[in-house]
Amino acid sequence: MIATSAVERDSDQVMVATRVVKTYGSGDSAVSALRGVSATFARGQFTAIMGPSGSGKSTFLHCLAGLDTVTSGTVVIGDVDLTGLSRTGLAELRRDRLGFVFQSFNLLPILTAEENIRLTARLANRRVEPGWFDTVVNALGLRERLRHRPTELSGGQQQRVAVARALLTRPEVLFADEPTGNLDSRAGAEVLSFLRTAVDEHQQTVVMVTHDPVAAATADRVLFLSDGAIVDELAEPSVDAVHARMRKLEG
Amino acid sequence: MGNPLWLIARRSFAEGWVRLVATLLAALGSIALIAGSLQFALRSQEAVSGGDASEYSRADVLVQGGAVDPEDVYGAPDGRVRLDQLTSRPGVAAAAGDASVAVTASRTSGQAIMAAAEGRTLLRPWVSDPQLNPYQLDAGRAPAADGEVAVVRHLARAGELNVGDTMTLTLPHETRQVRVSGIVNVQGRGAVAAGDLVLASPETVQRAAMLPAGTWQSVWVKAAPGVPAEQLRGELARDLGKAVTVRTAASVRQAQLAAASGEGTTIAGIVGMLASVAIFVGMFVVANTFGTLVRQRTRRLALLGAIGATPRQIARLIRLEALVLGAIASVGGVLAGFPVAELIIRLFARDGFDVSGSDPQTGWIALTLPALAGILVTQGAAWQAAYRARSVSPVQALRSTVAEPRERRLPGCCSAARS
Ligand SMILES: Nc1ncnc2c1ncn2[C@@H]1O[C@H](COP(=O)(O)OP(=O)(O)OP(=O)(O)O)[C@@H](O)[C@H]1O
Ligand SMILES: [Mg+2]
Repeated sequence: MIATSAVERDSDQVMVATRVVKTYGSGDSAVSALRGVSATFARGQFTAIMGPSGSGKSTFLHCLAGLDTVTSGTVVIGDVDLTGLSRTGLAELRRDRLGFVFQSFNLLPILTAEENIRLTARLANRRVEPGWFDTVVNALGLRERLRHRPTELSGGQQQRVAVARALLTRPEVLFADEPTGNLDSRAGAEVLSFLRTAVDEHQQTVVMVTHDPVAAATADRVLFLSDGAIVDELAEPSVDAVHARMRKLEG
Repeated sequence: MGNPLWLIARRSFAEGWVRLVATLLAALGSIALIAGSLQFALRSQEAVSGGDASEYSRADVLVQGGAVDPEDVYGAPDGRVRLDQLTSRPGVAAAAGDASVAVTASRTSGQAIMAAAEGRTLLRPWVSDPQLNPYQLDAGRAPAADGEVAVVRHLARAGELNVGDTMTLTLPHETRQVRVSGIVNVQGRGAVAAGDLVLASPETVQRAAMLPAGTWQSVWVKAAPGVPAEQLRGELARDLGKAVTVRTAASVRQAQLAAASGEGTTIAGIVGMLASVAIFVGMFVVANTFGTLVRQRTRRLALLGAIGATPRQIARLIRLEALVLGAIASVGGVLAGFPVAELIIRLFARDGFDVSGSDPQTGWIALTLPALAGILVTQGAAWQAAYRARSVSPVQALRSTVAEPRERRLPGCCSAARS
């Protein structure tokens, strides 16, 4: 196991997962999706999570982000232990401190792009500095698309809207589950470059699940999951190095 | 920035308006039924009791010929009373003879005019003494000649009669044409407790009732100033002996009121039943629609939850939509309640319980109570859906296996009833 120990905590750590176990179902039909996963996430770090299908990547992301409950273990974001929070407490934490980009169905079809971007902030009843909204919208090239509904946007534009929404509240951690999974390589590369920019220019912490070695190579490090456990870690990944590890994993 | 829940509710509404219009109509129908039955209740109450309106409002003491059945508060006395026995007495300020003959009033076309509520149509004398006259002219003048009558407002409305029109009166021994010279109200009401009144000159009534000249079925007495009604009653009862029954006008009115309120209870029961059915049907339809709505929107609600809407906000979103629906349905339902009331009134009129002459009620109760019921019904119906919505797990937005289902083609009530 190469997972970083949760013991070494300093102020630069935004999120610490300790021996996270997630079991779906019970008895004979129980599925162990995570079997004691520990990991630390530093502020301003871009982490990619890779692994074969069914290895527990999404489950891990959901547990980290308080979208799903853990069976045992702890997840601490900042100074808050997620495992002790109520549903409302979790929702408020996600709203106030986390951002999300999913593979698909990120946006409410009934709202315009701008309304979708502002939705999290509005749910929190929080004002957004106009300068920051403009910065995000301009950086993502959405200025001309703000009045459009999601169905009137391309897949890449939709994902950029989701990234804008996630960035607008300046979350402590931005979670992305295969954000480029449905995009062609050019649109995917665009979205990845925005995430990269957010990390480099605004010290945004990003955790991204991906299947794509090219996507993983834009991260600062890659965690490899297999069968519910972290089996490998790669710092400063290159596309070739990621490829090599994945081939080894999928054997 | 405004409330995001309101924004989402509004847009969802705009999106799913076909289904919602169907639900809206159902809720509206339910509220209209509530409003209509309430309207009917209020109007029949008005028609049945005439409130406390009474032809005896001016009189103090009634001297009724013979023995009077205290059970039958509208019954005509069977004996005779001489009017001159009373006019000259000390303690009596005024006296007027009264008799009533059950008649059937018809339009010249031959169509009978139904009396208000379960009452009858009575031919009675016009009372000319202003101290005793309870009839106020809405239009026209008092009947003067034989062949002229004044009618109460209900009868005029029910028979679509105006001053100067002719109508047919079927008396026990003859049928005759009379001219409407005036239309009256009794203390502001269109009818009295006993039913509708056709007022003719005293001589005409006396003849129709086959009373010897100078005698009446009963006599209304106005006490002289300073003489209490009860005291006068005692004196008259003592002096006139067993041939007559002497009662205070107040006690007769009391008895009429009590009888009317008994009838009111029966109507309240019917109306209560109608309203409960309306509430039940409305609840059922709205609850089903909102249940389907939540099931269809699982993914959206989960997405909302994932990005930070609290369970309470999600539940509020559903209740907000129900509130909008309820508010629109309430306004529409209260308005639609008026024609519904007309329909109920017409149905009951066919069975002989006709309150069509009463005025449409536009008081606070008639308007706000159904609206309030509408809001409560829709909120109550959406309650379970809201509860289910708040327990949608955010992960449900993310599992690609859960596809956002398409709008079903069947309206909500049918599809929900199947599942
Ligand atoms: N709700 C659930 N109920 C039961 N088992 C589940 C549930 N969700 C996930 N699993 C199981 O948990 C394991 C991990 O699933 P997860 O979705 O985390 O995998 P993944 O690495 O994201 O896969 P993919 O690359 O295909 O998205 C799988 O075996 C899956 O079948
Ligand atoms: Mg996955």
